[in-house]
Amino acid sequence: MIYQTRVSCRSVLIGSRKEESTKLSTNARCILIHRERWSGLPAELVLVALQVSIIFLVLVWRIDYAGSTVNNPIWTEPQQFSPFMPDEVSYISGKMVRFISLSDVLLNYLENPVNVNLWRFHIFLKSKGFKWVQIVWINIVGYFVFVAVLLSLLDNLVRNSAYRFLIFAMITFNPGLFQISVSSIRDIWILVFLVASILSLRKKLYVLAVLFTILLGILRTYMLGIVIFFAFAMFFKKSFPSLSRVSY
Amino acid sequence: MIILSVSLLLQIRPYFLQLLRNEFLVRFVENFTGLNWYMITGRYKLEGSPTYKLEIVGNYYVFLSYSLIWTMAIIKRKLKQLIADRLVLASLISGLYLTVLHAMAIGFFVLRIKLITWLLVFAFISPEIILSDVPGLSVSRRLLNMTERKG
Repeated sequence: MIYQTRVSCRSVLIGSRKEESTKLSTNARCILIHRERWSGLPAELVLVALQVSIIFLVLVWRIDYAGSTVNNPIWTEPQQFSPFMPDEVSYISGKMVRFISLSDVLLNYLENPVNVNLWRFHIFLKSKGFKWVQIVWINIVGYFVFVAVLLSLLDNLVRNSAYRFLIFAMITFNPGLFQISVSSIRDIWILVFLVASILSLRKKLYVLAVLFTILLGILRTYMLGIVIFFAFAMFFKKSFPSLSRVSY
Repeated sequence: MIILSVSLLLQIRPYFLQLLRNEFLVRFVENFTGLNWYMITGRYKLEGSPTYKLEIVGNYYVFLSYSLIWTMAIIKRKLKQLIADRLVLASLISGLYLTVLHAMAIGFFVLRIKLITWLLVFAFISPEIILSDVPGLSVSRRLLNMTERKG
């Protein structure tokens, strides 16, 4: 393992055009990325501390804002009425939606496959006794579940390298992900179940794939189409050779 | 799947076809590049709630990251080879599926919907682009060959 890592690092150097100028940065990168030779853990885990810090800061920012605007009613978010109001007040066919049963979800899909308000995640949780901040905490847990599932997927797709580290960092530090993680909407769990379904298909864990697909369908029904596309892509034989995939 | 969804929508609201015609190209560009009219005209302003500010920053982040990845694909001449990979193709079709449905039924995108295509592009397409500096031979394969040679 150690030998192979050293060779990989050296080969990065050999492959580079500007060998001398990039030597220092490449060595630093190799130390960072191939840290698993000491710990056995993926290098991407060094980012988790940063992610925790950012999530915490964004959450404090948001709650502070909620606290100040409840006292000063110039606020435009629904929380101006109560700090425990959800982010969105949604309507289907002109009626405010409080709770939809599974049969309603299916009927609604037939009526409009793009209806993004099929299932009010926060209303479902609120009906179970959760409050706004608790729902946000559940979503924050969802963000870290997403990070774990994504890392597993990237591990399955790409071998451990600086490039994988960069791709992982680019995906997980998207401000949009932080936005949906500190809100009470359900989209972070949609991403979790989508990635988990595709990963389960790749690992041929079909029971888990079905389970995650059902959960995904409950949260947003038309996402099932994406899982079906990936299932087709994985089950059908390759018609064209992909050279770059050979090495994975 | 796309045809089925479009047919269902047309059964319910025939005028959705007109909406699709009007919105498809704009939403296609937005879903695969992150660029939209608000961004071009500078109508996004960092004001309002923290979540709205994060959404605006996220829109710019998605646009910049798409620009980076598609520029790399063009420079490395990888666009043709991308279509040969099944997972890449599934990602592109998924993006098209989302584009068609959203253009047809609601006519706009919010950031969290764009994130789905963006995530698929970065998870399945960007390794194909980034991990190759020689056409048809990825960096990882080159590393593997060199490792074997050393061994």
